[in-house]
Amino acid sequence: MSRRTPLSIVRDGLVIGAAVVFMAPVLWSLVNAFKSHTDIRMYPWALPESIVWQNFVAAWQGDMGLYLLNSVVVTSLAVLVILVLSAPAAYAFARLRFRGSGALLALIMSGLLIPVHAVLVPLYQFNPGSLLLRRLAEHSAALTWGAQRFGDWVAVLGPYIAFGLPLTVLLLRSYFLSIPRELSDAAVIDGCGHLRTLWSVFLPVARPAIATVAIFQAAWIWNELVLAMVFIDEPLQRTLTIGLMSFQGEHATDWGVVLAGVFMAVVPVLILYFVFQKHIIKGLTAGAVK
Amino acid sequence: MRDSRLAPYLLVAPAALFFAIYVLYPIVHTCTLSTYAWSTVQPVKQFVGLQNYSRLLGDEHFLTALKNNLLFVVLSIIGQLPLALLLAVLVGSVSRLHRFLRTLFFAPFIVPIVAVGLIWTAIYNPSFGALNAVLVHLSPVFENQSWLSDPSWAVIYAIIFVSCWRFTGFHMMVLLAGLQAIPDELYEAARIDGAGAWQAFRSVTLPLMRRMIAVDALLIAVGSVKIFDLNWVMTQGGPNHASEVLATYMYTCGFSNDRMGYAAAIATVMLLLTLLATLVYVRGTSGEEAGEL
Repeated sequence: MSRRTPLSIVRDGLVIGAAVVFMAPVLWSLVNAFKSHTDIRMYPWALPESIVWQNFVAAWQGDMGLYLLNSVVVTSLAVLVILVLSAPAAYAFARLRFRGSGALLALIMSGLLIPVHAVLVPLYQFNPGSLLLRRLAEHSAALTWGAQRFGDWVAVLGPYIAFGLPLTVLLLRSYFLSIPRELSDAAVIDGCGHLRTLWSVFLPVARPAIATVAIFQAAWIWNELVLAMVFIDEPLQRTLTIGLMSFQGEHATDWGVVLAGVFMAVVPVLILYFVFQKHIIKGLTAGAVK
Repeated sequence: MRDSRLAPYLLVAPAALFFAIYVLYPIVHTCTLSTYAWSTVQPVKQFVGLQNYSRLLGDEHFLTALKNNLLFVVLSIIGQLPLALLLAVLVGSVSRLHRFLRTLFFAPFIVPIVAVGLIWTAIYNPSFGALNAVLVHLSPVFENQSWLSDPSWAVIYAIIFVSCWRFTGFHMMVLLAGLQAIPDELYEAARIDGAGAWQAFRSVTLPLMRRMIAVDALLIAVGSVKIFDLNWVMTQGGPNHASEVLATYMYTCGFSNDRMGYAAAIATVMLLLTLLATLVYVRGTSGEEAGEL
């Protein structure tokens, strides 16, 4: 397709230049993570004269590692529960006829538009997850410990999961609709119940759709800020977003250290991105295209 | 089906209940709470009718926030879509180089948003920021600016610029999906008719992409009501509320100043604006479809 003409070479050259300018802010911050604060101040664009590992030691001691781990745990839990709740619903909406299915689907789809800010105040006042946990903890010492250690996660996971449901149900449902009926009918004839059919026929076939939607949900939960700000108080339970903000607050006068924290938050994600770029791009644009 | 008629409801129930408890009920609750004056230290709620709303109309910070949300919509569309379309056209081929360049343009969207905010806070920093360093080199008369505080009216533009930087690559990918759906024969035909690259773009690409661009622009409008993260990380709505948007002001009123009823009223306004934007979106897109039939 692409014929090399002088014009196309000039054009590509210009675009490469633009890409470099585009990436410059990220590269600048990553390079400056290795410099002392005075070096950043004196020569913002210079490469580090000697590498300052101290920044990373401070970032690690500032619990950046813990925040990363917390985000991994919270994000995986949320995505898992979103999928577990969405799959049966998507199956029912795609395959079964029942009274009120249209209205129910429309109701859940309305969640695609709702800003999280619209639920903050009532959930802050009354969070079903934390209330339930507190009630249960009254009867068990182990749960009391668990509630202290992980209670904020229970509070924040509720809205994470609920806001993840609409798009997941929508995308899985449309994928299930494309699965030929003969396939599921065969399973039903074999005597499989609905859950069995879903598990052994639909889910294996729908793996690409599951991957796409899981990436989308993981990305927004990984980035989510305001719910974490409202529901996570306990420093040990901070996720990466609020952890990074408090880290910056503590080191506001030493930008080398702050940028080391940024480095730790950015580089793992960028590595994942360059390895799985095709899937990730597909997953992240899924919400817009549909 | 051999199963009972109940089966579909049982399959839908977990998701539906979860959604109802965490989204639908709280939304209704937000609307009712917005008619009360209350705070967490003074939990007895006092019914005030629509007073919170009438107060909003005279609240200059709220009006600034509203104006800034609007600026976000307009400048995001102007700043992102033409560039996104241009990039999609320029690096849209299947060649290795183009695929790699697309990956780079999309990359800012991958960087976690809090990190984006901190990176640009550093770049805009008055004493060591990369931006000042570049501008001093370019122009000898340039004096260091503190982009995120002074002059305060310009701060919102600095934030919108970052938002454009982050999302342009995303929209490039979205538009690219539309571009790739245009059959090659049309370009072939245009070439045979003697059309140059620019003419082909004007007579083939633009008309066929019009609908897609409109949809994308409306998507930006719907999304812009919820803008929060960048503003919060970079300025928390400051200095002196100059870069406030609805979501940051709502958070500040509710969770910093403990005016919960007032915050609920702002949240209700956000909800209504989202619904309004969505209505325009649905009408706009379905109207287009009808026009094409």
